[in-house]
Amino acid sequence: MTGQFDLYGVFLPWFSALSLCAYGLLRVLTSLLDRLGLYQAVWHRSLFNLALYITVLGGLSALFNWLQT
Amino acid sequence: MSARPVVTTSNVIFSLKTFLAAMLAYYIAIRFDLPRPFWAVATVYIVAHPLSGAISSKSLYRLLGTVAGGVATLIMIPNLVNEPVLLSAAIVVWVSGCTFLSLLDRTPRSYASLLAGYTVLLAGLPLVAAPANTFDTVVSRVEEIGLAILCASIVSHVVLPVHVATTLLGRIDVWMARAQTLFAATATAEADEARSRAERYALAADAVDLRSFTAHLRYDGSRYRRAVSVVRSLQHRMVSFLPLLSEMEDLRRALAKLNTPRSEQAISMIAGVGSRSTSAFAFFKTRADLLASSPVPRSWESLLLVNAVRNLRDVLQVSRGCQRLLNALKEENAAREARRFGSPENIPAPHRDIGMALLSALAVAICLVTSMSLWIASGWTDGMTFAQISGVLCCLLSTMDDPVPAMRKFVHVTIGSVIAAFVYGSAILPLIDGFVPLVAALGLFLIPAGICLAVPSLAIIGMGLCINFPLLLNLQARQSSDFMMFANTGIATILAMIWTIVVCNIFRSVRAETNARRLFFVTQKHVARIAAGRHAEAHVTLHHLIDVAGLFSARSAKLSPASGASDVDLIRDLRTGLHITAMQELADEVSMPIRLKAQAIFSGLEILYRLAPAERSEPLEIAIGLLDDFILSTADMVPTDADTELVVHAAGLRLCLAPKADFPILITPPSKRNAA
Repeated sequence: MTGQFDLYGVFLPWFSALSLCAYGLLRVLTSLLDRLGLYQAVWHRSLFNLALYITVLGGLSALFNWLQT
Repeated sequence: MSARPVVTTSNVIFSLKTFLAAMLAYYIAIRFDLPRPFWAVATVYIVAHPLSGAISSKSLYRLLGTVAGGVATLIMIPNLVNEPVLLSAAIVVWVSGCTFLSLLDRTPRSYASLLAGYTVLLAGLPLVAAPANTFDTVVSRVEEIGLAILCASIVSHVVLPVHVATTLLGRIDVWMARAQTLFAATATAEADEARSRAERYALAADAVDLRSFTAHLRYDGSRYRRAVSVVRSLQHRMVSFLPLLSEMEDLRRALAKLNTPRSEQAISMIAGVGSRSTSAFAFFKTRADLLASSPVPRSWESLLLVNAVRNLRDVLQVSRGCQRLLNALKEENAAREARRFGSPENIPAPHRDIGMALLSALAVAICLVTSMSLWIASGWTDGMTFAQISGVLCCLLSTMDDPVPAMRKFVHVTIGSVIAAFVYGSAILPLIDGFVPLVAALGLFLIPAGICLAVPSLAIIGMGLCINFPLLLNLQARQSSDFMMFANTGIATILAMIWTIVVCNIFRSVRAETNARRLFFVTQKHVARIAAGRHAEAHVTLHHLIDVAGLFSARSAKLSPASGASDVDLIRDLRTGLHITAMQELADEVSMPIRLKAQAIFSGLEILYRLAPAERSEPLEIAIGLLDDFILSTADMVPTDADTELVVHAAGLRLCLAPKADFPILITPPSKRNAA
């Protein structure tokens, strides 16, 4: 997945936009999981969040690639 | 300074973590082909902090500041690059303005505006020679810093995190234990006045420090981050403990001076509560009721007793409240407790010293003007580094009273890191190819130096080593060794530090005494304003004056006994303010003659607190005379509840004003009093 998009004359890679989206999604997900009480069972909150973020970002970019083809 | 071991497990882990984050940032920066990857390494070391929440907040503010500084650079440089004088003026105004703003804000948030200021120096000045690629340079600088910040926060949160909350709770525990010890000591024995006052100041300073520390809690990755409001209301209670302890000491002394059977009973009651602490609440309550409901008409003695009972009740309430909140924090679901205990009252903004902030901003401006004109006049290419470093140092050290000693230390350390960088650049790095050997070589220097960062007393050495080293080494994607360039940079860096010392010595250094005196007058003016009826909220007074007392504490240790400012008790002034506030609240409900007399006392106190300490003896006597007259003359009136309470506060007020004076005697004869 390469390529850039044009934001008022500034070229930004798609990946940065995706990673921002993934971060937003992560925030929503963590607050949901927190409300469900899942974090009571999580040993290392930050590590869990990092892994979740990578999963979300990987999923998003796979989805993006699939949409482009 | 205590001789704590420097190389502890936690310090080594911290250093290894920081090194890991720095190398991660360096690796990514090289892979992305960023122009100056060493900036990322230096930034990781700049934001490094042993606590993970603290890194996140520091990083967030740093990122915001960098972006703001980048935008300012983008606006200033392309538009003004053809007018060097105008451009210099704009940069000087921007940097000193940002320093001024950051000094007004004593929370970690101040980092953002400080950064906005010196990013312009760091990113903008190199562009003056080549303004065409302003945009690219600014973007890559923001990218490097952002990358470093991300790496630093991810590593600190994921690898063996140390949470802010654990440390904060530990420090609150220590604070509470110290306060309880002081409480017991005050209650059970005649305290050494100077020592207990110093202890109260130290507690105030700690409370102030804890308050700004709490700001990091919100960024912590632990379950406590929801509990900020609980911690805030806990701190509110902690702070209100101090004036109560000060009052207890004075009350105890006054009771001992009275030397009647009932006052001795009261002293033993205080001692009982002090030694048995909170568990004696029931016991204490019965005794308190006994004392309060004594049939004797209001005399100085009974007023003191009522004050003592009120004081003890408040002390117990506050310490029970603290304990309950602390337990709530340690229990599992702090979030639910937060809703129950969340204090509705907001804590007012901390004390701002506009004069000192202006002076610091002025020093930054002078330092920049001189170094930039030297650069422009001499045409030395590395004059740019000279202007950069001296400006940045001036900004960084602007919070200190007297930055010169710290800066001298910094110069020595920097010379050390210049030598180390020279050895690395000329002897070691040319032999290295590949990333892994480079990391190993850098680790040899950065890991031991990073250990110093974790020890507060060595932090400035650690900073000097870890931040200067990568910058001096010019860690580029392609290594190049150029002795001329290296020597120029090194000389410019050291010259810049010496110049900063000179400028700060002339314009900026303020003796601790000056600042202590300024803080003292802030307190006096605040009390005068209360007496004039212009400060109605007790909790604002409490927080503001405890804040000032905490600031005062650090300086009072350095005061010479001859200066006259060492003998003041700011917490006693705070008590005066609180009593006046309470009296003013009651003044609307009391009968007319009492209200008129109270008004006269307020205006007397306003005049008293507007005077310098040396001029006070006569107004103080008059004010005490007014108070005595007020306290004794109401004894034969038919009192309402509000009247009684007002007189009790007046007795407390008299104790603040004249803690060592004899008990009041009637000066005006009764006949004259009735006429009045």
